[in-house]
Amino acid sequence: MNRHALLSCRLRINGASHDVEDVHFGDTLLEVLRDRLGLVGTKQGCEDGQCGACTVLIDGQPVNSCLELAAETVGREIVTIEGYNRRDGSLTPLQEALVRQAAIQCGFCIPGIVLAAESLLAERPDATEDDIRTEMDGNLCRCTGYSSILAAILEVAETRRGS
Amino acid sequence: MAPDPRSGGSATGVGASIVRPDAIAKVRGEFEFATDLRAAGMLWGATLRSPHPLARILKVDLTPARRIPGVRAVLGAWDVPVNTFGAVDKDTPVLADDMVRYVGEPVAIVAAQSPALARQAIDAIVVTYEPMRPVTDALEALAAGHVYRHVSMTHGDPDVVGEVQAEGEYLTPRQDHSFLAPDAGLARPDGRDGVEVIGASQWVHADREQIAACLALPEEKVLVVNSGIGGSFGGRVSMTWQVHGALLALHTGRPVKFVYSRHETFLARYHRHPSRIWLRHHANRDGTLVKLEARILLEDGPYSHTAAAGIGNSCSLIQGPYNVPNASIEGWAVATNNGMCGSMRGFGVVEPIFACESNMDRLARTLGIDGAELRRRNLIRSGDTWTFRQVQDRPAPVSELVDLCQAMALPPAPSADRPMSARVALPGGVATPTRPRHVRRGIGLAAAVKNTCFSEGCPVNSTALLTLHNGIATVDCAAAEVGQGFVAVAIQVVQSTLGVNEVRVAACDTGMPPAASTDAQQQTITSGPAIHLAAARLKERFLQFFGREHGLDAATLDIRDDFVVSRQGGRLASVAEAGMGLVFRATERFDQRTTRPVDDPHATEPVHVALSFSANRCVLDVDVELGLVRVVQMDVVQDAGRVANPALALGQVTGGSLMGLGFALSESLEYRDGRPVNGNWRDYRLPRMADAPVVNCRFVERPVPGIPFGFNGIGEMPHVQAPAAILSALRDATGLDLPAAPATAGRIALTGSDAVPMRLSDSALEAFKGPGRARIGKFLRFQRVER
Repeated sequence: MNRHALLSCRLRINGASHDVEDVHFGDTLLEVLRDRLGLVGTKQGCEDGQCGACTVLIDGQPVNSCLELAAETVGREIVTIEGYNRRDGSLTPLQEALVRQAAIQCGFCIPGIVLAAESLLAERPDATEDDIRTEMDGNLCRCTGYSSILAAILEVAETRRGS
Repeated sequence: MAPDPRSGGSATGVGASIVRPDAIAKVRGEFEFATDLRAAGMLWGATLRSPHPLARILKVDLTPARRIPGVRAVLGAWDVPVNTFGAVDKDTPVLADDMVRYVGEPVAIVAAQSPALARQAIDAIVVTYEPMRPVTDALEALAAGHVYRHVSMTHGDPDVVGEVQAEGEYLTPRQDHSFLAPDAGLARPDGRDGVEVIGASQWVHADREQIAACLALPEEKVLVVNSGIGGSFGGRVSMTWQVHGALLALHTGRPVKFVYSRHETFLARYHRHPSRIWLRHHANRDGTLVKLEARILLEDGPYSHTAAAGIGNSCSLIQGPYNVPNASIEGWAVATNNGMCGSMRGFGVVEPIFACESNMDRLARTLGIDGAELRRRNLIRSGDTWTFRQVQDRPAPVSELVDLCQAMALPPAPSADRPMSARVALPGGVATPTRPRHVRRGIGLAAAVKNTCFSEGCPVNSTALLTLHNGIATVDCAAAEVGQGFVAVAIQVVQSTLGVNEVRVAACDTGMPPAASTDAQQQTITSGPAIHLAAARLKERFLQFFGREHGLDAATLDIRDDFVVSRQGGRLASVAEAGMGLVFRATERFDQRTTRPVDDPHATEPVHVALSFSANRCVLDVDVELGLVRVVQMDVVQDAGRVANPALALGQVTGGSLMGLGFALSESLEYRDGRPVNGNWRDYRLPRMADAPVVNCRFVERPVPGIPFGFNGIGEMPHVQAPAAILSALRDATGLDLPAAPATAGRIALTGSDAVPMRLSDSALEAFKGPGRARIGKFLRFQRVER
C-alpha cells in the first residue's frame, strides 16, 4: 500500500454517521475524533495505551482510542463522552457520584474514567471494591490518589444492587 | 478533625465542602483544556530536539523543511530576538545556538498546516553535530566545580560530639510530574502587533515577562491566558512551547497550536532533581539529639532553572521537625547533562525529609529506642530556634500530630488464607505471583516539616479585584487553578467575608494584576487573604452606600446570605436590590512577610514565611521473596491551619500520598550516558488504582497568626511525608537498610545490593570537592522580582 494513501471512512459515532475524508490509514481514532471531528472530550494523554484518558466505547467495550486505527472502526458503534452525556445537561448517577465524592481535581482523566467505569458497571453489576481496583487499573489519575474515584464507582454499584 | 470526603450540601463559606465550580463541566468532558484549543486558520507547531546530551552545533540547514508545501515557517536560533529565558536566571536558550546540552533541547521549530506535515518538516531539517563527552554524574559535576549554588551553614557549636552517632547516605530518584495533560497551547497574533499565548501555566505573569523579553516586545504586547490546566504539581513553572508558539504566530500571522506527545513532554520538561544526602546524627544515650551533620548534593540540569531555591530548601529543612541545638550543614546544586531538573511538589524538601527520617530510624535502632519515641523526644516546639536562625514563632503542634497518628486504628492483620480472587489486595497487585505465606507486614512512622510559600527573599504577594453587581460577586485574581481547587476556595472566602453566596471566578490572565505562583503550597495562604481584604473593603463601601441611601448608620449594618441586615439580624433588603444596578469594586493586595537567604549571616528576617507539619504512619505488606509491596494504609495527621474546604483538602492528602508512594516504590526517570531510558508511561511506573492504599486523614487546625482565616499550605505536605513513612515500614518488615528510593522489587529482593557506598562521608568527600565555580550554565543569582 502506498504509505500516503488516503481513505474515506463512514464512522458511527454517538448514534450519528460521520463521513471523514482523507483519512490516512495510520490515523488513530483519537486523532480523527479530536482533530477532524472536534470531539475533544476524549483526551490525549500518552498515545501509548497506558493512561486511559482517551477511553471510548466501541460496541460497548472500553477501548483506548489512541491505539485503535480509525479505519478499523468502520461499521462499529462508537460512543464518546459527548454521546454518553445526557442531552439536557443533567448528570448521570455515576457523574453525580464523582462530583459528590470530590473525585474531580484537574479533571483530565475523568471522561475516560466515566466511560470505563460505566462499562464495568454494566458488565459487573455486582462489582466489589477489589473488582473495581482490578478493572479500573488501565485509567491513570495523578491528582486524587483514586480513593474518591473508587468510592464514587462503589457507591453507584451499591445503589444499583440495592434497588 | 476527620474531614468528610464528600462535597455538596447547603453550607457555604470557609470551612464548607462546596462543590468546585468547574466540576460539572469537567465530569461531562466539556471543560476546555489547553490541549483542546482551536482557532480558525490554525497551524500546527512542532519542535526539533537534540539527540545528544552534549554537542557542538556545526550546521543547521532548514531549507529542506521550508520547501515542503504546507509548511509556513521554519525557525532557528537566529530568528529569536533575545535567545535566553529562565524561571529565575535568564540562562536557557529558547532555541539552541552553538551548543546542545541535554537530550530533548529544542533546536528548531516549524508551523505547518497539519500535525503530520509539521512532523515531516521537522524530519527534513538537517543538523550537523560534533558530540562531546557529557557530564552525567553529580559527583563528577561536583568534582569539576559545576556548581550553581553552594550553601554552608553552622548552628550552635559544630564541634560538639554526641555519645551515640548514626551515619548514613541516602539516594532519591528523578521523579517526573506526569500530570495527565501534556504540554500544549495556542499562540495567536492579536492584530495590534502583539501576541496572545493561551496555555497552562502556574504563573502567567512570570511567563509574560519572559515571553516579552525573548520577543523584544513591551509586556503590554503580550497577553498570557490560562486555559484549563490538566495538573501541574510544580511542573508548569517554566515554559516549553510558549515562546516558540509566539514566534511562529508572529512570523506566520496565524494562530499556532502545539500539543506535545507524552514522550516529548518527558524530554522537553524538567523533573525533580535526584539527590545524594549524607547525614550523621549525634545523640545522648537517652535519645536527645545533640548535633546534625549533613551534606546534600542535588543534581540539576545544564541550565540553572530553580536550582538555587531547591538547595536552599534542602539545607534548611534537613533537620526535619526536630530541635537540633548544633549543626553543620553543607549543600551543593550541581549541573549535569542529564536533562533539566527543577521544582516539583515538596520542592527540595521531599529528599531531605526522606534522608533525615531514614537516619532517625537508624539512630533509633542504634539506641534501641522505638522510632516514634525517639521522634517524640526531639520534636520542635513553638519558641525553639531552627538551624537557620529562625525562631519558631508560630504554632508547632508536632507532638499532638504524632500522638493522634499513633492513636488511629490499625488495619486487620494480613490473612494467609485470603482468597486468590483478591489478588489485587496482595503485594504486586492484579496479576501478582505472590504467595500469601511470603507476605510480611511492616509499620513505620515518620514526621515531616515543609515550608509554605517561596522562601529566601523571594517576594510573595497577590492582588485581587472584587466586583459586585446585581447581587453577584466576581473575583479577578491571577492565581492559577491547576486542579487543586483554588477556584472553590476563592468563592468560599467571598461568601464568608462579603456575605454574598453567588460568586464567580474569572479566568486567569495577565490583564489582571499579578498574583502569587501556584507553587510551594502558597496559593490559599496568599491569594485567599488578598480576596478576603478586597471583600472586606467592598463590603464596607457597599454598606456605606446603603446607609447613606437609607439614612442608616453603616456601622449597624452587615451582609448575610445575600441580604443587608440590621444589627439585630433583620433583613432590610437583598444585596441585588440594595445595589440599585450600580457596580461596586475593591482591589487589595496581600504581602507575605519578607524573608532572607538561608546562608545570609547578617539579616534578621525569617528564611521561611510559614512552616507546616505532619505525621504519617504507613502499614504495608511485602513479599520478602519477590520484593513486591502493597501499601495497605496510610494514616496522615496534618497541621493544616484553617481548612478552607475539607473535601478538597482531603483530596490533596490522598493524591499527594499516592504521588509519594510512587516516589517511594516505583518512580524514577533513568538516564544512561545522558540519555533517558524510560521516558514513557509504559516504563516509568506510576501508581494505579490497584496500588492505592486506604488513606485516613485528620487535620489539626492551628490558625497561622497574621493570615486572614489562619490558612496554611496543605498540598505538598502529603508528598513530603509519604516516602519516609513507606520506607520506614519496609525496613520494619524486611530488616533491610533500604537507603535508596524508589525501593523497587529488585532492591528489596536482592538484599546484597542494598548498601549505598558513601561518597559524601568525611573521608570520601575530599575526592569530589571541586576547584570552584566553573559552570555549564550561568551561575545563579537570587530572584529579586521588581513589581
